[in-house]
Parts: sequence; C-alpha cells; structure tokens
Amino acid sequence: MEKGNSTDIHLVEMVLKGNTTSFKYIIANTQGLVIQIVYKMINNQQDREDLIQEVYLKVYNKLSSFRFNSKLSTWIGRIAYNTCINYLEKKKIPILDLNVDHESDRQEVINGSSSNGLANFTEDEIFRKERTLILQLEVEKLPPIYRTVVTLFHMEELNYKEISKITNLPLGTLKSYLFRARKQLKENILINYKIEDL
Amino acid sequence: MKTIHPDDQSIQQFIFDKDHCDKNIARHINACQICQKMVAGYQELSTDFKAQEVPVLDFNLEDRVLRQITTQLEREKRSNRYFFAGPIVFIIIGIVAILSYIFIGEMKYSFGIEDLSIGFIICVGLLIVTLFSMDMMATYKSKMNKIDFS
Repeated sequence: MEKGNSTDIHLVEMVLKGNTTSFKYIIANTQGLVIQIVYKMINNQQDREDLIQEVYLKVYNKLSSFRFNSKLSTWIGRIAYNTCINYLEKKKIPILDLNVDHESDRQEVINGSSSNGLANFTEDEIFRKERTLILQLEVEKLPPIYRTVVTLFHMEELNYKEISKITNLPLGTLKSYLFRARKQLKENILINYKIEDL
Repeated sequence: MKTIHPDDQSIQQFIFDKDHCDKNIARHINACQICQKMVAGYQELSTDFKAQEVPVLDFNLEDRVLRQITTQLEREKRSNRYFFAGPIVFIIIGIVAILSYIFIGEMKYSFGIEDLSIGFIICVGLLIVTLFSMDMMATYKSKMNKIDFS
C-alpha cells in the first residue's frame, strides 16, 4: 500500500496545529491535479472555479480524518473527483454516455485505415500542432469520466492504482474505460482527418 | 495461411499495461509491421496528450482559499464566543430566582414594594448584568488575541 511521504505528514501536522500557511504549500503541490480533474469533469468555467475552491475548503475541514493510507495528492484528487460527481449528479449531467455520432463514418474510416495498414494516423501529414488541437477537441467530446481517466493517465502520468483510488473504480473497469476512451479518440481523429482534410 | 493480428485491446495493453500483456502477443507485435504501426499510432496519441496545454487559473488559488478559511475560522470563533453565554444566563437566572425566593419577604418588608415590581427590577438588572458580562468577555478575548505570546 502506498503511504504518505514525510513531507505530506509534516505539512498535514502543521495545518492541524493551526498553521494555515502550510496549507498554501499543500494547495501549491496539488492544484495541478485538482484543476485537471475539475476542468475535465465540468464544462462551465464559473462552476469550475467555485468547485476548485470548494474542494480545498473540504480538504481543510477533513484534513484531520486523513490517515496517510495514500499520498496526500491522491486523497485530495479523490475529494475533487467526488465533488465533481456530486455536482454532475445534482445537475443531472450524464457522466458516462459515449457519443455515438458518425458511427457509420467511423466504421468506414476504420475499415479504410485497416486496408492501408493503419498507418495514416501516425504519418506526418497531420502536423503535430493540428493533431494536438484536434485531440483537445475530441477529448472535450468524451464523457466526463473518460476525459478524466485518460487525462490522469496520459497528462498527469498517474498509474492505474492511483487513478483507481481517485475515481474509486475497480482496476478492470478503469482499464476498460481507458481502452474505450483511447479507441474512441483514435477513431474520431481519423474521422476528422478524413472529413476536414487536414 | 491468414495471419491473425491481436485486437485493439491487446495492442493497447502491450503499450500501456505491459506487465499484463500476454508473451505470445508481445512476441507477435514485436515481429509484425502492421501491429507496429498500430502501436506507433497509440504512442503518437499518448505523445500528443503530453503536448496539450495544462489549464491554469487566472486568479491566485492559494490566496483565495486562505481568505475563505480565515473567514470561516473567524465565524467559528464568533460562534464559540457565545457558546457559553446561554448556560451562564440560565445559571444566573437560577441563582437570582433562588435568592429572590429566599429574600422576597425581606425585600417586601424593607422597601414596601409589590411582587410584580420586584420581578421587573430583577429582570432588568439581570439583563444589564448579562449584556455587560458578555461585552466584557468579548473585549477581554479580543485583547488576548492581540497579544503575541511567541
């Protein structure tokens, strides 16, 4: 089991003794992860900012219940994720519906790319910047949970166990979500490449 | 003989979850050019992910959160300040009621006033004492907070 490191322990102890400045360090160390989670789960900018602040207020109020069973950042990430899930449920926003638009286009493109040896995707015809932009747009189209897990894995470079702890998803389910998200992204990029003729 | 290539899931497992990838599949992918292209496709996807811009906030999160925490702590302090006020008032009222019960005859005899008037005087006196005590306590606490003992 992952245990909290000594810096985490020291910072938590300082905050619990009433040193609010130490909480600044905790925010500085973990805000990247929290921002990524909230930004991937929530679309509305104002709500994102409010939720990020709400997450840290929750962290402050619940800090005494942190038992160092995981890294502090993982624990905070989990609070951020749960806060977002509660928000989405309250707003009745679906968290797992995969967009099935262009299904026929997708199949056609996949078949086409298969016959061409599946090489198109890696060729330099799509320039990196454009590809990154397309990817960003395609990630936005994914359901919130897929967006989040794929970002945590590829951008934040967290391992399966850490993502599993944050999202409370069993490892098998998590891997399945990651597989589907990547597959969908790859297919959508192929479609865009074909349609927009980049 | 037709070659059977591993499915998309196995290709992804080969790249992103190598520890759990079947050895035969791994051997095939390493030797097969078609599968290698699939692998390259997903590796490109992963690279593009890393090249994406990281979102940043246009305000100072630390300062804003700490401000909220300070406000919260002050609110808690204020509510704590009046936490004992209720019980203290009840105790005072109790003591005065007992004393009044004991000495009401004395007061009637000494000052020649009615029961109702005595009750009214006691209530007003109690109210003044309570408010005065609470104000004194608040002033004392704020002065103590200003003193730096370190």
